Amino acid sequence: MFITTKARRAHRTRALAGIVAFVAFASACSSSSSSSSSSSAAATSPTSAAAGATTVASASTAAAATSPTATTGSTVGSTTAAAATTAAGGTGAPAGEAFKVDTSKCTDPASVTAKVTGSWKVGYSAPLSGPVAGVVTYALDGFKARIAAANAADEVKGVKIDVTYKDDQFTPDKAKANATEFLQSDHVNSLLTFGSGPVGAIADDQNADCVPLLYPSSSVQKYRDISQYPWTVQYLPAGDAEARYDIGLITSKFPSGAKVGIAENQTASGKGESAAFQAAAKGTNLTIAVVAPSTDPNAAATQLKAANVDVVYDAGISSDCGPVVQAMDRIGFTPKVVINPSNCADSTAYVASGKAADGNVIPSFLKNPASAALANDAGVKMYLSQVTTDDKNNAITVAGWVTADLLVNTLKQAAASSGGLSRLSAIQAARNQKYASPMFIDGINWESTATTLTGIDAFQTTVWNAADQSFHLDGSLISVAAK
Amino acid sequence: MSERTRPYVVHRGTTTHRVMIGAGLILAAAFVLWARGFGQFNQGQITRVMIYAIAIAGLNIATGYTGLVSVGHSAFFGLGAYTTGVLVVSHGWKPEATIPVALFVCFVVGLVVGLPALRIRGLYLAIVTLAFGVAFPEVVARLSTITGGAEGLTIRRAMLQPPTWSGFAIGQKGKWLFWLSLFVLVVVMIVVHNLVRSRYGLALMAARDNELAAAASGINLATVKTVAFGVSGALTGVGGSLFAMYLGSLVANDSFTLLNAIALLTGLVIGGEGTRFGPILGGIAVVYIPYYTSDIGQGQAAAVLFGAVLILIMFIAPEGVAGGIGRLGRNVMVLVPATPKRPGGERSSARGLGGNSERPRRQGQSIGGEMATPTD
Repeated sequence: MFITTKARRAHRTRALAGIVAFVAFASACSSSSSSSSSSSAAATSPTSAAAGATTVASASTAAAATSPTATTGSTVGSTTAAAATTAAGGTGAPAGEAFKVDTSKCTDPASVTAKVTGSWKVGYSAPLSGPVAGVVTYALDGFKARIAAANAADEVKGVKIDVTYKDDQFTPDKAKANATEFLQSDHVNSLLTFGSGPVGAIADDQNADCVPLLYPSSSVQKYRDISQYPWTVQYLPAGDAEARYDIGLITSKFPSGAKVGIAENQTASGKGESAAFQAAAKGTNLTIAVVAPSTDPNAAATQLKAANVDVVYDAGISSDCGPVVQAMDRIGFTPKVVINPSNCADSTAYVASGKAADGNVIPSFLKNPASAALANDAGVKMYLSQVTTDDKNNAITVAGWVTADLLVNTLKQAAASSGGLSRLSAIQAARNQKYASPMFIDGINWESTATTLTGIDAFQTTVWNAADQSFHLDGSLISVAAK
Repeated sequence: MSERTRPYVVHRGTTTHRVMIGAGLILAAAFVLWARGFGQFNQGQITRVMIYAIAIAGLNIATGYTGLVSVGHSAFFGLGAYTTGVLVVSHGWKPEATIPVALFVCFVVGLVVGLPALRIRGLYLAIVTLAFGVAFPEVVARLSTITGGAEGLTIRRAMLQPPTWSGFAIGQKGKWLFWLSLFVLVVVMIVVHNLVRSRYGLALMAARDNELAAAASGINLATVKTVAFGVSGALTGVGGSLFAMYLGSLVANDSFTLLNAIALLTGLVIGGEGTRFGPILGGIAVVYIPYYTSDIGQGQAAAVLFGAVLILIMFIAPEGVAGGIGRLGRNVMVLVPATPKRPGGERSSARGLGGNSERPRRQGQSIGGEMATPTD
């Protein structure tokens, strides 16, 4: 009996050990494979930073071909052109109301206003390993290239930007541990991270220590509350901003009203998008005729067809982009307009959908460096001169570069302030931005004031063309700035 | 022919055994005193180790001692965390006061989740628990009015104010959590120790090792298994409650996913299932192996390195680190149960009299009427 028992335990232990070893191996493999994947991961939460960029084959508007040095011509709708923007990413901040923040309750108030010389230390907690590490590598390639260029050109006047990277595997508790080490041991001047979970784990501590969290790739509404999180400035467009774009686009195409159906992914992301869309539709002449769960795309398509809607909004993640459209095609239902969320920027799903995806719309805000129409664009030239890695044309790499560009611009603006570069002047600069990054589609600005974080102030409509299997810019910019 | 060196035998309850326990306690106390002087980061890492150790201790009850493989314990971890989060944020409870509630809630849910264990076992049971783990983030997302849904639940710093009597200010909440986690860990260790050494603990292991024999011996398998899952979930939920206080931000899709369940299972297997100290070693592994491997090889190399380390550990010590240490330790010393006393007060074996240790005739040979059972 004793031997039998031991043998059974040993067998079970070996089985568990096998499971663990397999998971470890699979994890390692998934990290490796994801690094070589296409930009399909743009839909994953940490990488939706790239959501605004699409593989635009050709620009159908004049705006797309204009240089970022232009201060006119790219203004469309209610969006104003960047003020005094230069191709080198010069500051374009208007003289707005200075952002005031109480530093007396900071852990070390004196350090907040202390002038930073020599180097500006950035603590970057990122998923360097784990399931999303591959795509994050793309973003870091762009980020590192922009930082290196800024240091080489001494853009922050005598201050080098020194970035330390720590792996959080996209888990909030590891991100918190990293942030604690950055704050307590490394005494960094600002922080950066990926994803809403890590931002949530970091936000309270960095606000208590009054260390700016500048341009993390997240868009959680609660951390946009300046009164509660004055030291946190997120990069990604807010969900309600994108919803305003969606509603603006539909009302422009259907001025006298339309019936809208929502294919709703039953995940937190999908339901969040759906809720934001429905909220934005209130007070308009649009009718939400049906909200169809897209768990079964065929059932969703049937519901949408039965409601005979004019417009289908696909509130989903990248995996939904193709299946819902294909399901509608199978039952012979072709709505007048299909709008996908910005995280459906990966062309693979559209190619797989064939003709069914023709005319699908998504919002974007980043330039495509591979676009022939932008070959002479000053911003693209600048970008390509700095980013030389193989993934330079990847939308996520562009997003990473833009994140660094916003950081550099903020530090330049802070360094030029009367008190010089400090943590306080950095957050004040971050709260006083109107900046057109060279890789934003012309006419799109990054806006931030003492009271409002708008972020991306407009989207450019892009339409999928099934014939040449590429996205095309369509129409003018649509402002998403809060009214 | 030279005789092979025999290990020392130490009987439980003897002076030698007590001295060993005392030395262990002194070492542990010395470590705690040393760790209390750590900086915020290092102390936070120790706190994380203790939180994971508590959670893994819960998993150990179900998987290690009862043989009920669970790959969904992240749900109990998350349930405990959200119980604390909701009570603190929505009802203004003191964080530490939520721990018993988290324990109770997770115990009840554990009883329910454990019901399938009455009919199925092995991989089939693992699949059921997997479903529980996968469903948890979705359930949390649907209960958005309570849990905050997709955006999660944020326990603001001010809500995590240490109690006045502790003497810690809000800026020292990390230190407060360190001591609170230590206290809870010690309580959990004592509870698990006593549980395992009780009649119920013997029933757990009997059910694990041979269900038919256990049932034939009068053990109510239904009760044993169901309650084991309840206790297991409850302890893991307590770990989750502390995790909520540590993190302050609960997003089910990020913190309580299947990867978290795998982390707990990994910790248990590395530490040593069915051992008392395995969960602590597992907590150390879960926190520190990724930390150091990422330092050595940043990026995807770290993932490969982490996997290689896991495989290496499993190769060297398939029974876990605690089991491996125990195996090696038995070459030097064997701990055996106390020799029962006869009615006259004398021990049943003269070998036990007057001495606390001895050399056995042969390893594994019957000593004093009892088999030298491997224990940790």
